[in-house]
Amino acid sequence: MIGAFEVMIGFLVMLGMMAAGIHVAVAIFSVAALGTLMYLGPPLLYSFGDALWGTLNDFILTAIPLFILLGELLLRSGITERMYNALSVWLQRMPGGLLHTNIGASSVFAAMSGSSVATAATIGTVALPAFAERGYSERLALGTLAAGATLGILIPPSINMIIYGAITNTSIGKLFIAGILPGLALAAAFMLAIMAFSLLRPGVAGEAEPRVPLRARLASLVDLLPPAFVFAIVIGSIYSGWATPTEAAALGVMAALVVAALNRKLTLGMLNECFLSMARTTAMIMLIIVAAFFLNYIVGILGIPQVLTRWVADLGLTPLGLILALVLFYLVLGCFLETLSMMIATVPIVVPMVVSFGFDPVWFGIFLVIMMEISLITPPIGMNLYVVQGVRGRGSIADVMLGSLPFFAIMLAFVFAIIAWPGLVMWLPNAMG
Amino acid sequence: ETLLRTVGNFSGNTLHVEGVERPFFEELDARDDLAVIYNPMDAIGVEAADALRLLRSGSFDVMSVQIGMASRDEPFFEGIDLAGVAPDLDAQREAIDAVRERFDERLQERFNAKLMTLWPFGPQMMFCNGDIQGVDDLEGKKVRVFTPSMSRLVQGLGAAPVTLQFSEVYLALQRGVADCGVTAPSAGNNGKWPEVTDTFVPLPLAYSVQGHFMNLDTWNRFDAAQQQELTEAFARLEEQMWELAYDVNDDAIACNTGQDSCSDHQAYDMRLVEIDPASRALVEEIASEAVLPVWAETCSRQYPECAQAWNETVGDATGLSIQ
Amino acid sequence: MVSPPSFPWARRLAHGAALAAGYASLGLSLLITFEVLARKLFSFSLQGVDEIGGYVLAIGVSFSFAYALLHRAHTRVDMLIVRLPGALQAPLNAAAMLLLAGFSLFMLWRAVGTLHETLEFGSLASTPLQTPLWIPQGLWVIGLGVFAALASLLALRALGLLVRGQAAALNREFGPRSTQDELDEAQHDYADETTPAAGQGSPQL
Ligand code: NA
Ligand code: NA
Repeated sequence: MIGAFEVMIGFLVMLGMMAAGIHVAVAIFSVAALGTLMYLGPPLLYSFGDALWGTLNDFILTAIPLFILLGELLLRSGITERMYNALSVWLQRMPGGLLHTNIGASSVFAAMSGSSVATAATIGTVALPAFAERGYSERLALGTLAAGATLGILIPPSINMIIYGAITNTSIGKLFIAGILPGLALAAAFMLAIMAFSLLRPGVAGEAEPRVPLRARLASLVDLLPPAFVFAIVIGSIYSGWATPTEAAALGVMAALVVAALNRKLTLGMLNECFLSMARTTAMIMLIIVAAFFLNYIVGILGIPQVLTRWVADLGLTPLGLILALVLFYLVLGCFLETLSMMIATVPIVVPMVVSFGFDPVWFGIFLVIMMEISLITPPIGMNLYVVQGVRGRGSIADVMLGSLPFFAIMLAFVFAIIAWPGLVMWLPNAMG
Repeated sequence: ETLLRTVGNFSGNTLHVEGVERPFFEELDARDDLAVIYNPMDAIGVEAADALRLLRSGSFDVMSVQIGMASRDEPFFEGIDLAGVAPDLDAQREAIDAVRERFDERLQERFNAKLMTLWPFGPQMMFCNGDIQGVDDLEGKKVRVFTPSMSRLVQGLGAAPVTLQFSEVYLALQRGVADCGVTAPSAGNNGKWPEVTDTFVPLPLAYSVQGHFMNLDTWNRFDAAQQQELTEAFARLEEQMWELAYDVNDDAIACNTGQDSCSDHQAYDMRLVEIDPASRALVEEIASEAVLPVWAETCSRQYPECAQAWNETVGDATGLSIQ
Repeated sequence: MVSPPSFPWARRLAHGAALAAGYASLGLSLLITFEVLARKLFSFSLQGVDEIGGYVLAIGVSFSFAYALLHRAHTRVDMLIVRLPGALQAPLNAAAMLLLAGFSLFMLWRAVGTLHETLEFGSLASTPLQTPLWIPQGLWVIGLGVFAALASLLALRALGLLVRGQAAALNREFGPRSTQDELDEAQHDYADETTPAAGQGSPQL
């Protein structure tokens, strides 16, 4: 009932509206509404109220404002700045300096959270202010945050892997284990790229700071204790089975309150500032999420993912050709769709096809998750871009997009690497039985 | 040619969705007088709880409805699947058949929709961690539940009901946030719960009843012959779903607990707990004293004849009654 | 928006609503902490913290939309528009504001529809808490109402400026945030918010 041509027109209308400066959420919603009126009729548009309530009334997403609040508390009690000072004292001799902490912190947080969006919100809130006055290339710093946070769904736990495992009847435990090595390798690749940039273009990684004597460097370690305490509460509560990842966000907020109070920075005024900042950032992120979910809903009802999936299936490709076609397919789809729906809508058709070509479903699951990661930083609908921009709260979204571009290239290269060396994914799960 | 915009069940229920539902609607789509657009509800982000509203407004023509979730808007519908009421699948089937007509009347009157099928996922049983030899050992365990009546039943057994989002359950069981999770044996097997639990408690708490409903205006657009054919087709769909509930869950129990008869599910080696007749008696007692009265009170606020209607249908079939 | 020098009541309303969302999140954190400790130490669960968390998010976000609007935080892609001459920017800025207002009114309209059905069916959450849904949904609708009201007022103002040909004022008030706004933001102290006259660099209505 709808063809590739009409889909293309819709996409161009959305891009055009965005380029004309219409709010991103409004542009996304408008195309969804137009599609609904043209192909499906008004009743589906009326169901927007239910969709809006359903999207917002979601406990898993409450982790977003709570982690943002946690970050604001640490920031406004001065803990973040001292933490980054301490880290920079240690990392200043390494090409890329503090940028590495973004990747490192994202990786550690990814090991607690199953969601990349939550990872981006948290690390972004904590890290961004630290870069303001250090002379780093802002775009590169934003890129490390948006891209680093995508590790949230590759390094276990991962909500996307749980759903993939359930749909395709693949062991979730195996998927988790299979995600570890690629997750660490991708993080390492990001760090190597940061070093390469800062060697090629001195200045992107901040101004040279005076050399600090060892005694002062050791003393600075004390400033890592408060954030380490908050981190330990969040990670520890999840790994010890006290709390779910969402609940851990609330425990983290409490820990941050304690730390701020010990720091004598906890006042009503400071608390209100944190609240207002949290409200602004959360509202900005959620308005886009709401519109994106509705577009997703309409795109799904119109059967667009299935149309495209069948089209790929009918090309009559070799196994390698098929996988390369799927790379292209998910790159394109990833421009419009939110990751979970993109997966649920295509996996039932794609995975049987891929398995019949001789690919291992665990390997393909990891391949897919990396493609999802890429989609998180590809405009126009790339959630991490908007989250990082939302946390930043100023400047142009274009900075985040441009800053993410090198990491996009690295992730794409990484996809080709796991195609060339499937063992990168399969070695660990096979070794562990 | 009539277009049927159809929402299917959750894609995680692969056997039902890929094995039965999707082929069924593809078959309808192949008819000359029908065109079907089929999507599992999570593929397009439809909330299970919104089903009755979406049918009433005509947003969709046919929906696979999770009765427990949809009863948010009509507590009477929950009466078909109250925890602890039916001892086994046969009894559940009798109860469903007894209430079917009354159910359809209310569905048409309040939600402008027609009942096409009613069937269960199967007995909802516990996947647990820890030393559990019988129902008594559930005392103090944290059990993840998802309906009000199940919560009351679990409380009656001395356990602490815990509510978690479905997507968090696997991790919660793995990390010990919850000791037990309740679901159908087959659904738990598909969701890989045995990877993170070690003890299987085959005590049916409820049956997770599902249905297919059609918007009434859409239904009335068909002529008598078409209605007849559709009725028969959906009856076959319902029969297939019942067969699944019977066969699949027996196999899933065998596979979860590593028995030789396991054939169609992933094999694991959970320990199977023996359930004695006294346990069933205890469940029935809790149902009568703690589950039914509370539900009846909620229900009669929207539907004064609720308790009476239940006693005449489900109650009559299962030998229980609300005073 | 760092917005027109009017509508002080709307500004205070948006500000207060955002603060309420913040306190609700703090309350939720306390509640979850209690739940986690009670569950682990005493095997006791409140049964429904996840449900309440969902309500806090839905209501909190709807309460925060207006505040984000005041601060021009809702994302726009500004790469092209800032390179256009002011006379061309003005209609685009007005169009963006009008469409956003339209979207906010549509959200409000459909949310009222959802609340209306909830009241009609007497809907109760199908969870152990069995919360009457009109309570959280009623608050949610109020938040969306504040957002729609503020967006509509601002849209009318943008339209007025456009009709009167005041392109420069329109672009200043409704354009994507400029470098000057960012400097202001960097310096500005949120505490000034409560006293409209204070703060040379703080966002003003
Ligand atoms: Na993760
Ligand atoms: Na994207």
